[in-house]
Amino acid sequence: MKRLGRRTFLGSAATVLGTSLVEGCKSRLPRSMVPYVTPPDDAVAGVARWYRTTCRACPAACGMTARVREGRAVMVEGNPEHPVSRGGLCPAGQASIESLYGPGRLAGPWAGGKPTGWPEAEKALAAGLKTALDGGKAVVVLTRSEPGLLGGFLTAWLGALGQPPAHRVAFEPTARPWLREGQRRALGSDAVPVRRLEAARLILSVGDDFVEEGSPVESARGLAEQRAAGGRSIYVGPRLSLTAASCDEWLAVEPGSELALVLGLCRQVLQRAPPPDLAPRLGTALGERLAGFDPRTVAARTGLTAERISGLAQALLDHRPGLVLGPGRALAGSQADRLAEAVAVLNALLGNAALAFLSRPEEPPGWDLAELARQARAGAIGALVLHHADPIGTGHSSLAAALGQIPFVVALTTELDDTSGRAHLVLPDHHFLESWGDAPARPGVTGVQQPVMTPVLDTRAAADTLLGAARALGRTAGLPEGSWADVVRAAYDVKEREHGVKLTEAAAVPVALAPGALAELPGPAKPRGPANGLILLAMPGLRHLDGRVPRSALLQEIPDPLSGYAWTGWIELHPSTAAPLGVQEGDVVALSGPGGEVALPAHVTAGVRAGVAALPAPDAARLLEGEGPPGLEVRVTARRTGARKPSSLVEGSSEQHGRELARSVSGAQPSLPPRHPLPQMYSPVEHPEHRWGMAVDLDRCTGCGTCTAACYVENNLPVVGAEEVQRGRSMSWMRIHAYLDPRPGGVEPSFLPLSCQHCTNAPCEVVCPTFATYHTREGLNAQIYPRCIGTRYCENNCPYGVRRFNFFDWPHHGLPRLGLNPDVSVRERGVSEKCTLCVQRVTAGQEKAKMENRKVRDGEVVSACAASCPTRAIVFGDLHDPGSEISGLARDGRAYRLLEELNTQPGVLYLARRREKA
Amino acid sequence: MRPLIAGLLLAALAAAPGCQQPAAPDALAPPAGVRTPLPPPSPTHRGCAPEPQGGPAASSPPPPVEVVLGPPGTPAPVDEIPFDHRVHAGDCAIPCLSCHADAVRSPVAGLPSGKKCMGCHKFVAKENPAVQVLAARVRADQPLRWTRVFELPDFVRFTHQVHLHFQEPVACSECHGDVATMRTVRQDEPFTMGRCLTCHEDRNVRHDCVVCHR
Repeated sequence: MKRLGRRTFLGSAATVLGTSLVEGCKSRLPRSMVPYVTPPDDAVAGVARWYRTTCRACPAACGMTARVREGRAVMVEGNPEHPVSRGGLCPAGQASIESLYGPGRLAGPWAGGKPTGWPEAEKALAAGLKTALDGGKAVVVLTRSEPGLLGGFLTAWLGALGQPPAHRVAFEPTARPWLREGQRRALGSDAVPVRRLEAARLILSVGDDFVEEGSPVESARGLAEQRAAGGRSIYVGPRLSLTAASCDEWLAVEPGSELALVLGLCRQVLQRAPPPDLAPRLGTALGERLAGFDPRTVAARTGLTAERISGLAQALLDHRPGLVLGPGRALAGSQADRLAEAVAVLNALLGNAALAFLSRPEEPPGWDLAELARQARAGAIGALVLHHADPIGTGHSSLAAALGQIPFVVALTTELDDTSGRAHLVLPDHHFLESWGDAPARPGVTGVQQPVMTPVLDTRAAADTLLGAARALGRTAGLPEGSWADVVRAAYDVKEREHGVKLTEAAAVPVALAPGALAELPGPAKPRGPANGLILLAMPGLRHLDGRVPRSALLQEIPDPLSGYAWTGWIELHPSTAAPLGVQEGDVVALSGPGGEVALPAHVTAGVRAGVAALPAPDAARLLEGEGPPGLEVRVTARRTGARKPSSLVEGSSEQHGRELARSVSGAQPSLPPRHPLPQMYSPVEHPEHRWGMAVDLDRCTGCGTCTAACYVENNLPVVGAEEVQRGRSMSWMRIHAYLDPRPGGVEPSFLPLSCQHCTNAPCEVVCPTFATYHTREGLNAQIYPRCIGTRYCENNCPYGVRRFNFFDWPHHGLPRLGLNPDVSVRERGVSEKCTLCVQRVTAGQEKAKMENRKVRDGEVVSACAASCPTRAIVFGDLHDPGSEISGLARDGRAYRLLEELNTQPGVLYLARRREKA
Repeated sequence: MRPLIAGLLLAALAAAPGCQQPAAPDALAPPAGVRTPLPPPSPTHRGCAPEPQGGPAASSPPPPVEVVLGPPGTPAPVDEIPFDHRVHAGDCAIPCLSCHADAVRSPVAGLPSGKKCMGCHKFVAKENPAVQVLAARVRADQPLRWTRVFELPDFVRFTHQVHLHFQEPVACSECHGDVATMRTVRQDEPFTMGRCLTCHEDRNVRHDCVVCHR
């Protein structure tokens, strides 16, 4: 028989395969179409609608705008009309789309560990409450902070059941009650302080990580504006946090000496320039109380020189209005309220000009967690209603035993967590994007919350569930008629709901130093734990918010910029601390504290003081016994375990090594030296009409990562998981590179948000074998996924390392599919991708302008990263439009491009950071 | 002989997984038991011509049609109603945009809602069995379901409204064929990139890749 030749084989193969391939792949779109029966007014399929609401991811209650396509929210941005958040958002807010459609969401009621229906669940709720009330036991509500209408409703609901207002227990793990206590002692006033960072010429933060706690969006924007106006900022604390890195100077004083420092500054200010309205008797009294805090004593305690302390005091006086902030959670130990008191006194001595004090709204005091546990153990509680509160999961694990004593625990929440998982009955609440409500950001500014879509699962508004139970029990005295939606709609008119915010006059409260200020000054706090142990520092952070968003895969995927760790906690150690332990970067270290042991990889950095072990607050909570923030008073022991878990530090090194990537200008030389055009052999590229670009102001960037999160949500980026991130395969198009460059006497931190630079002479375009990446006539470097065959030559050639490759398919199943942005493809395995400058938004803006027969206006098209940035560090626009904002920035003396010497001529420009100010 | 065997083996291999994607699980499947026995359109229908007075067809209206309804919001079975474009777009000469109104203001043209159909059919051809099914479904708040005929792959972004915006808008029939003559809508010519590009080049409009692929 004739042997099968190679040619014959290939010929037959071609014929057969050819016929089978000609039919092509079937589309994955659903095969049937279902139009409306009654179309909603003004809602057009394919066109997005934007609804204003309020973010409830944390108590800051920033304004939020949700982009809704076909009745599903697919993207969120800030609300520019909200005077506190001013259009910005934070990564936790961006993660709302993920939590809205997340797999962890409760699809319906649960009873006894099994799903059940609403009628049965409501009957069970009424029955459980009735049993408690008939037995004379207390009904208690444990809720997150609800300062708006819902809080009032909960108190009214308890009242209808005959319970006193104290049974409404507010639990807020990010709250900072010591600030209020300290101010009460210092100023005798309970007024709400409004910290106007932008109005201060000098900001002194005593351990207040305001970029990551409190009201992060508001504070970050305030800092950015303050810096743009020439202000200075100093951070005092044992660790170079994001906030410290965004300030001009980091003073790493001896841990525990911060109170002495602030008191020393008070003494200096009082001596040099006491406020003119200070009563002489009080002035004398204060002088006596501060007698022991002369510069030399304070210098000895803090490790600074006496001259430095005097200089600091003089700077505070010379640069009024000044603003002193603190303490934040990192520094808040057993003496937190004393430190807060000292800070409030210092502000008052400096004139309080950057603070505004507003009258605090009435709030009935409720039990605290300790009282709740006591009452539960005594058997006095018959029913506990949980409303979005998870104390057991955020460091109060001892509450579990007390919870076990309560015969009926019902949870009204969106996901099962450590606390609601122990409930007997779960009646799921809507996600905040599906809810009516309100949330005051501060007195006078209330964010209005409206549902931006109909609920996606079988959930009910918590207030409606409680109203139903009260009505079933026949106890409706003082409760609203109708539904919760009716209540909110009655409280806020259409305009307020449309704009997402209600502004009212907030009464200003005059404050003055109280006669008893600083009357009782404690001695230094006693540290707990072994004397030679490391000082434990529990770091607040936007990505974990004290454990409030632990189940957000997106926030865990975005690495912490300073350490580079994703999907895991880490322990920051100074090199001189790590060396005796034999620990190198990436070695797993086990810390032992009073509450347990924790083993995490070590990040060896000069950005933390020697003798300190800093780790994220949720991980630190496992080392403690749930007594509250440890401040700097807990000592832990550390040992090397021998295991390794290195981070995937994409930028290769945490130092710039003179590459001048994140550049700075100084007060002496406020402009960068001019660059001359380089000769090139490429023919010049024409951009006849528009040339889209971005300007990133490094002076404003705080490294918060909102841009990264926004890009994930807008562009359907996959979350690849811990293992792939470790291999360097994270898919983020926009990354924050952080550098800590060693300088004499310390380190110099820089943040560099890095995305595709959209080079005019792009090295990636010339090497693509299929022309899948090319330069559009509007300046974008376009990536065409269907043409890409995955040679990764482009990725190799890019000098900025911004291209990502899809090593896998990342299929979206079930509910999370609804959160995909329909305007952006979902990429398949085998294609390269990178930032597109949100080409879908650019094209949509151009189409809209074409339909209206006009040109695109500056500011009309905004990329997702620029839209959400809390500090407005990113500006998107047309570089060919001489009147656009970005053109103005391109002419700025601080403007430069990355790796200019390569002559790639990027469309993304950077503005150098200002340092060494006069 | 050998080439034939090789060919058969390769055919067997090619018939295995290959390019066949399973159809996306249709989450909108109607519940079991919703079935409608539907007769074909009445042979006496004459399009938009007025009914003859006193003729045999008008003397006794046909019996009402049995429609098994599900709970509100449940979609009807696919293509339950044999919608005939020949009657609507052809005989009655209703413009495309009357029903597919979103085409001029949205990337997707969409389908008319049940209420839009009832806008005419509350008065027109009420005794037609198909119209009675329509009326029953709309009254019961149940949307209709239609087989998708024109579709583009996920990696193509096509926007209707831009194509209808010009001084000389692209006629619907240029891409969709002469729908006014189709009893059942079918795609006569496939949507190939070449078709799009030819027209874009002829009209001298943007056709670089990123306009449609992103």
